[in-house]
Amino acid sequence: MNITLQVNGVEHQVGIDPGDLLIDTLRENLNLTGSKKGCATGDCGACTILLDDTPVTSCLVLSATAVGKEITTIEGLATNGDLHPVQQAYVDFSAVQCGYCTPGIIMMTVGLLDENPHPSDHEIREGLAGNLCRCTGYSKIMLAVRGAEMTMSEDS
Amino acid sequence: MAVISDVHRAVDLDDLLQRMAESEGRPRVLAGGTDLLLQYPAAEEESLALVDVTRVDALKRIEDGPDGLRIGAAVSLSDVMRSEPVLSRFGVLAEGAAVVAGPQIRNLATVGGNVCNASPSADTIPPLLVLNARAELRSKAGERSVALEEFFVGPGETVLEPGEILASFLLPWPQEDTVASYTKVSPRQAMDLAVVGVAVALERVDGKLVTRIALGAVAPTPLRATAAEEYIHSAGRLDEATAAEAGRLAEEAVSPIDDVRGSARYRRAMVRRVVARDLLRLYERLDGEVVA
Repeated sequence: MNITLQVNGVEHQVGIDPGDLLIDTLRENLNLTGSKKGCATGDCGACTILLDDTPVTSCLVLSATAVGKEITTIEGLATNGDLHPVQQAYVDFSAVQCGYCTPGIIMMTVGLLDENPHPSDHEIREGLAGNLCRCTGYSKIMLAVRGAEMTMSEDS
Repeated sequence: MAVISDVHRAVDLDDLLQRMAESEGRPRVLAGGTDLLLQYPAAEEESLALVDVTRVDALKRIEDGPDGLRIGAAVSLSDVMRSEPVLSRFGVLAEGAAVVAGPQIRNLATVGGNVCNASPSADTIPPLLVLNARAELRSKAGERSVALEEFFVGPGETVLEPGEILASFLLPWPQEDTVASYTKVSPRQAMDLAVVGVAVALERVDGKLVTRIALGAVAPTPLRATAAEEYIHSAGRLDEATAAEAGRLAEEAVSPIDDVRGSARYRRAMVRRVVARDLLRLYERLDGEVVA
C-alpha cells in the first residue's frame, strides 16, 4: 500500500506493507537512521519519536496508523544547523557515551520538558523510566535535562 | 507466523462495527498496539486483518452522566491518569494507569486494550473491579453491559463475541467518603509487570464497613476476594487482627503460578501482607484516625 507520512515537516510518499512498523519505515524507507531499533518490544525506548508532539516507541506503531500525524525524529530537532537546546545540553554535560540510546532519550526529554517545563527530579526519573542507557548510569542525563530546562526557560 | 494483511482505520462507530461484523478473516481490534503488535506473529491465523479504533471519537471520550463516569475504551492510559474526573472521584484507576510500563507506552496504550488483552497482571483491572465498573459492549447487532468481574474467561480470553467490541466502561459514582488504593508489587519500579496487584476500596454504608478487594497476577484472571470482603463486613471493624484475617482469606482465594518474576509462594505471602496493610491504611484515611 502507498501512504503519505509527514516527517519533520516534509511529506513523504512511501510504499509499505500493512504490518510495517514505523521504526522500520523511518530507517529503511526514509533513511532516517537516527532512531534506533533496540529491543523492538517497547522496553528500551531507543526508537522514541514524537507523534503529534507526544513521545511514543516507534517499534509499537504501524506505519499505516501514523498517516495524518506529524512525526518528529531526532533529525528534525536542529534548525538551520543549530542544535536543539536539549541536544546541546546532552553534548555540554557529556551525557552521551556509546550514543545508541541518545536519540530516543533526547526525544523523550523534548516531550517531557514540553509538557512539564520545570520537572522535579522524581518527575524526570519517571519521565525517562522508559529509556534504557547501559553506559552512563543516568547521572549525567539528569544533569543534561536540568541544563536543557535552564536554557529553554531563558529562551522563552 | 502470522502477517498483517490489512489495516482499516475506522472513521466512526458505525464503520467500526460494520467492519467487525464482516465475518471473513475475523478482524481484530487494533487500539494502542502495545500488546497486539508483540503477540500477533505467534497467532494461529496465517494473516490478520486489523481495524484501528483510535480515530473513533465515540470511543475516546470521558463523560459525566447521572449513573456514573463513562470512559471510552480507546482513551489512552496517559489521558486516564490525567483526567480531572478520574483523579477526583476514581483516583485508584489513575494509580493503576500510572504504573503501566513507561510514558511512551502509556501514550499509546488504551484502557480498553489493557482490559481486552485480559492479562492476569494488567494494572488497570483490579482498580476497575473495586470501582464496580461495567463493561459496555457493542456490535452491529446491538449492545449489552456486563459487570467487569464477568468479562474475563481466562488469560487472554474474554466474553467478547466475534464482531463485538468493548466500547466503554461505566464507573458508578462512589460515595463521597469512599477511599481506595492500588499497590503494584514488582521487582522493578518501571517497565515491569505486576507480580501481585492489589486494589482495595473501603466505605461506610449505613454505618457498616464495606470493602472491595481485587487481586491481579495471582490467578488465571483478575479476581475479587469476596470471602475477605464479607469477613470485614460481618466483623464490623478494622484493626490489626481483622485486617490480618482478611489477608489470610484473600490468600485462600488465589491460585498463583511460579514464573521468572516471582514464585507462587511469594505471591501468596504478598497477597496476605498487602491486603492487610492496605485495609489498615485505607481505614486510617476513612476515619482520619490511626489504628493502634
